[in-house]
Amino acid sequence: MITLRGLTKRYGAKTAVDDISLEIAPGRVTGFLGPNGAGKSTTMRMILGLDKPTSGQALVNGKPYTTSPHPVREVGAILEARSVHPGRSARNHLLAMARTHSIPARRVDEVLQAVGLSDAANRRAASFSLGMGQRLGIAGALLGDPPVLILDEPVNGLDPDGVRWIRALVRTLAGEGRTVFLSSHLMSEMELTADHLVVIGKGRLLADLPMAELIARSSRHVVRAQSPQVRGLDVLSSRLTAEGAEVQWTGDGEILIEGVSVSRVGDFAHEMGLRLHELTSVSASLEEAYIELTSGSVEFGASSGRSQAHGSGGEQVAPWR
Amino acid sequence: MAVTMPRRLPAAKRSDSGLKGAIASEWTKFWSVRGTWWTLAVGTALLLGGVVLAAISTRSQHENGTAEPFTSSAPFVGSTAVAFMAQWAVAVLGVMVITSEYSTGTIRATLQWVPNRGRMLLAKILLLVPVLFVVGLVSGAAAVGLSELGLGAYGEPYTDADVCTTVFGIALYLPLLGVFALGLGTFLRSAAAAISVVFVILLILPILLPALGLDLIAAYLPGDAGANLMRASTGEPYSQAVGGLIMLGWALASVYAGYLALRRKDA
Repeated sequence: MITLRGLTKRYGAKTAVDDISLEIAPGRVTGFLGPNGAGKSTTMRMILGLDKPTSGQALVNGKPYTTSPHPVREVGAILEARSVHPGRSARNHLLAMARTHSIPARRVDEVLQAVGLSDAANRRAASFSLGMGQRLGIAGALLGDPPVLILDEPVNGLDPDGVRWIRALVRTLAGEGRTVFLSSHLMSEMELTADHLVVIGKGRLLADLPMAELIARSSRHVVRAQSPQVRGLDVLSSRLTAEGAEVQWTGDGEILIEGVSVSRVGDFAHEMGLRLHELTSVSASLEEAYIELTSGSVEFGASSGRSQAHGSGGEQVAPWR
Repeated sequence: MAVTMPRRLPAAKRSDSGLKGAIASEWTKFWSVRGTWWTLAVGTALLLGGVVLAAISTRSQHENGTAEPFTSSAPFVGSTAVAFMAQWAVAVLGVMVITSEYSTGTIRATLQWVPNRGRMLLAKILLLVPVLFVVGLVSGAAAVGLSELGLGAYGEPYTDADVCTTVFGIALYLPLLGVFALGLGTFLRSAAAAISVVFVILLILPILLPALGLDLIAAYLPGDAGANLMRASTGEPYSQAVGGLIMLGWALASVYAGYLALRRKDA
């Protein structure tokens, strides 16, 4: 369990993290999303006691990390920035970590094996690829068998196999009842991995809710209808427009409808005797829901493609897939 | 996708972590990078070079008839070799123990493992002190022995007590210097900055201050205090023991400044 209470970090006049309060519960994967510079890494560093909050508190299992009697047994973490001496071997790095908590050396070999680094254990960390460095980070996070894991961009630099492995690992860890707090800028990956989402923008908390709810809350609810009877579909689209829906042709015999429910479209088609080959409710993806949520809080981004599409009126490109 | 998970660990005991573990970790880190070995090798080379230079200089003083009995004895020549040459390797070692962690990012790992700033710094001190005490004993004995060889017939007589006080003086000075350098490294976080400051305090100020008529201040800087502690000076204006206390004061002040920086600044 991680608890943030009014957590705030200011650098001079700039507020990096602005009064964030939330609880990150055990037994599930909590995804941490936000544009670059939104304050994700700073928040994680404050939880680990590396950075001091300007005000507020970050607690792990009810107390600040820095006062934990055995921190490595309490939290396993990987940070985005490198934290291994390039001249030290992977094994010696983990051994130095293990010694702080009287963890036996054989545990070091166990975690190296679990992350697939046994063969590289005695190589200097400087020779590691980005992916291997990331695996070494995971090995360190698992070393103390901690109930809380804080993972900043864990899939960075991993190959597709590695990405799948992290996803399975993270799900397993949460399944064992641990608290998993994970940041990633890969939306599709997050959609597959996280149960719950915390979204921040410009240091402020924008959302703290289950993944399904965030997607459902998105205004982008679209119905796709396909019919071989193109003229009938045209009539249907006029009726729907009269109902206040927005209709868009996306192909020969396919329309996307926004603003009415899927059952209403089905009822109309039935009344008209229109033969449908497909009638689907297309929910927004996490990416769309996320962009909608953070469009006002992108720190360095140019105006997004979405808002431009909105401005160009009827010819907009479908923002949904 | 099946994941192989490492086995579960037994529940942590309070005695599992703490200062002892932190020191053991520092020990592992210290000996597992090449920089440590390089610095010790350079220190050995500096010691040998220093003895050769000091012996040659003493021999030529003899030929000019300017040599004094005390400054021509092997313990004195040995300790000046340490004071002029070998101590720089120790200063670099003390600085690097912390600044290499900042330059490589290892400090973030170290502070995750040992988040208590005071304990982390104390562990580094308790690593450096015994290591440098042994280095001091070995290099002090070696310096005296080699000076004896280097001086040959020019060497003035000395007592066993002279050897003892000199070797122990060196064995006490090197840890104090190492800790002084560690404190500056912790405070400044950059090897270049910290080594520069050590250099200025140890070498430049003792030359500069007397030129400005501030001899008395120069005499209480770590350089003079260390020279007195190692008996590499004629014992003016204070004794070996006072030199040791002054050096201890510098080491403590430097470490305290480093500790405050650790407490106040983000890692």
